[in-house]
Amino acid sequence: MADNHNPKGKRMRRINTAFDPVSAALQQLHQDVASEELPEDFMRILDEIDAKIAAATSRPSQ
Amino acid sequence: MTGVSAAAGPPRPTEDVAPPPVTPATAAADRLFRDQLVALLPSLRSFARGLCGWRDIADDMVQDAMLRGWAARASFTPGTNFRAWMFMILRNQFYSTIRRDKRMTSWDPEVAERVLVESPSQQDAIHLADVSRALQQLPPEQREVLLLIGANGATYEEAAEIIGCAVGTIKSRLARGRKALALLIDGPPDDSWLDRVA
Repeated sequence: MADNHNPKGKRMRRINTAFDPVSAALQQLHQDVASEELPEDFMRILDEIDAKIAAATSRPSQ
Repeated sequence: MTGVSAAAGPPRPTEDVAPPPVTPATAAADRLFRDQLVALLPSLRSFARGLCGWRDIADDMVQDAMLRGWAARASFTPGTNFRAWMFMILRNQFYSTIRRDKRMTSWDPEVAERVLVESPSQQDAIHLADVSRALQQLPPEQREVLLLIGANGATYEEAAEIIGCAVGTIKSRLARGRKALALLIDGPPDDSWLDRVA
């Protein structure tokens, strides 16, 4: 599937004709984003959520 | 349907949901909610990026959706389809954003028509950047179905639940979207043989 010959400097995948190129391209686009490391902004939000959970569980139950 | 009823649907942007009283059960539910959210972030980011085509704006939309989802977690019924619930919130966020930011209303029928009749420059290679651009030329209602089903692996039923339409509508939009995207990627079918035999 992968042929990274790249004459224009663009990211390219050579798709085997047995594959559906539309599905393959959509899945590859998804995979490219999904495999990125989470940006710092996301980690900050998760830290805030963790802090709220910790604060809530440390309070006496109502 | 896979679990998100209309009554327990995603929060509207102006909806305030009071935080639940803290009990051991709600604390455990909060932790589960948080863990499910973390696991879903790659898919949410991918969906948002595909919808709007702008990395920073897409990530902002996902972060807003995270906060809205967290604030409205009391309205989520544990055991129902968390993924569909969060995708609904994110989708609402997208449509709210494009109403404010005209850069993302990139659908221009004249431009798309022009692109659809261009000759293919490649026979069997796909530039992902080109696919990404082609996606942005589709109407949002086709783009979101392609992204949900083609990229994120949602079922027809799940996509119908997220978008709020009939399964038949999903199938129709998917078929039209796939056809349009294939044309944008590959160009129109080669019928030059007709000229040769005419």
